[in-house]
Amino acid sequence: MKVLRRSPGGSAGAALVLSVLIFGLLGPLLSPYDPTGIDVAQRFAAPSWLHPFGTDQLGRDLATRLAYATRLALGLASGTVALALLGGVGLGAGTAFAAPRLAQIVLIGFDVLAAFPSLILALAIIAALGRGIDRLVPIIAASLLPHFGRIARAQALGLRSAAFVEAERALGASTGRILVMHILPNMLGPLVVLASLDLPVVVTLEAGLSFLGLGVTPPLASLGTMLSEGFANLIRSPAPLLAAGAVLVAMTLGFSLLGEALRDGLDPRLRSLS
Amino acid sequence: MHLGAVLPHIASTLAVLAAAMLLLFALTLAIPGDPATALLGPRATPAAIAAITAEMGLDRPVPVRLWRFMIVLARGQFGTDIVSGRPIGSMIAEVLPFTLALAGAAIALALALGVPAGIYAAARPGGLADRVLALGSVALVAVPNFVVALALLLLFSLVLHVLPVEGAGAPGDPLDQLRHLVLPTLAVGLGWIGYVARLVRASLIEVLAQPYIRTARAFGIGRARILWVLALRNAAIPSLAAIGVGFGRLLGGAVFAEIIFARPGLGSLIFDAIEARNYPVVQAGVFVAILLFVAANLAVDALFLWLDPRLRMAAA
Repeated sequence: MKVLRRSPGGSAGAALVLSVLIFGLLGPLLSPYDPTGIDVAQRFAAPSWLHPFGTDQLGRDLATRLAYATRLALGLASGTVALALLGGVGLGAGTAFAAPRLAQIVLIGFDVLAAFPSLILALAIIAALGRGIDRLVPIIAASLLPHFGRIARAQALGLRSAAFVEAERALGASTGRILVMHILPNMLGPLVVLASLDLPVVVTLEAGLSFLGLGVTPPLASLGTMLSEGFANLIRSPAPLLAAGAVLVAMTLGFSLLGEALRDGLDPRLRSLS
Repeated sequence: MHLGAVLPHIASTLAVLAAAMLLLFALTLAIPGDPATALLGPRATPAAIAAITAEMGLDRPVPVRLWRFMIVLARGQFGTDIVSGRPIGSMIAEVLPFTLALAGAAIALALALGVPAGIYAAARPGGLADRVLALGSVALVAVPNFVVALALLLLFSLVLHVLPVEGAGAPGDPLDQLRHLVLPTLAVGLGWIGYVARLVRASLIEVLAQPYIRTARAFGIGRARILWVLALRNAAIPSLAAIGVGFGRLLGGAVFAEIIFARPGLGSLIFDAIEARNYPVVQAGVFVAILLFVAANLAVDALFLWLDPRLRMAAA
């Protein structure tokens, strides 16, 4: 809270994130409409009391679809980042304690994985395996993993020779116990802050791939598919495109502003890591 | 420049390319069914599938296919496209200049605006301009580039009508092609302005705190010369590194810009091939994109050695 009071960008970000969270979490519960319920008589309806943002090309309520899409994006982004964080921390911290040869192999793996442009890689994989959320999440998580892995390794290396770890070792603790009980809790704070900075990246990638028709499959509402449907029906009504774009920007901007304020406020040294 | 200094970079580049080949090949094995059936669709006759399978060499054992695949890619020949009957290599060569022009223009835009903005902010850290820039650059970086592209398309097709929003311009008319380049460049490069400005600002502030700058000041060297010449040369190094890494994101941005503005290019070639389930063309396109990315990083590494004598000494 103190961090946010000092940073106008951070407070703006917090406000955006809060509204996105409320919209995405409460919207689907409160809406009387089915997000995939088609009502052809109501195609491209103008905003009204019944449909606050109007309707899309199939007469589906835009506000409802947006709320479901927001919830999906929040879930996908946090799930993907959590997966990348888990894998990256496990492998990265592991290398600090593993045999040097094994650590070397993992590090080369990080380098190779990081050397691929993530969207291009995703295109190649989706072209071969087909689209769908179950492909999207592991692909994006894998592209984020090396970043977390390297930071986790650097931190674990630093902690490995800390006095309290030496003391624990002298008391006869195993490497596994030291890793889980002492190293992990000490490095998690900064990593979680850095992970929050990757949320907008994942939201963008997911929406981008879905926009291309390579991510979330219709009729499921996602910000990307809503953008592409709005793009296709631009001449009839720009409203669906504008609404989906606005929510997407609110989300990425909010998470970025909040994440940066948290990082700078909690630990300025993290700036050099990200 | 010492060959020994560049050698490790070249080795890691080759390792990445080999990994890319392996991955692209492994993916063909993972295609549900096989590439020939995927290309021809569910209603193809067995005879047609057999013919295409033989033509694509899919009836050979896996190690033979892998070996031939790698040889072909290493030679830069990508075989013949089954759909159009044209060499895939010339299909790529045809569209590549459009993508390179777009990427180059976007980087130029980002450097032209981002570097001065970063220097200006670093000269007065904590000032009003610095704080405005800090917020503005986060906003520029955070907005997805395809949203920028869509917004520009919306604005210029519905309201402004000043610039063309579709295609790459008439062949042989450089002015028309330049006009067609403006909006895609803005879409790809806008986020980069903020990115470059932040990098330059951060590394410049760090460099300005070093003793050699204080010495220069004590010698009476002017403020402008210190900032723009003495400090910037050192501050440029981390910014360059980030541009090399960010080049992959730039290629990703180009994919969206090319599709949204209906522009020919590597991105739209890959995308159309995915839509047509034409996997050999996807493979070739993705491989060239990865090649561009690692080449950009290699060029940045070489540039470092040239900019920073300390690295040259360390490597020699």
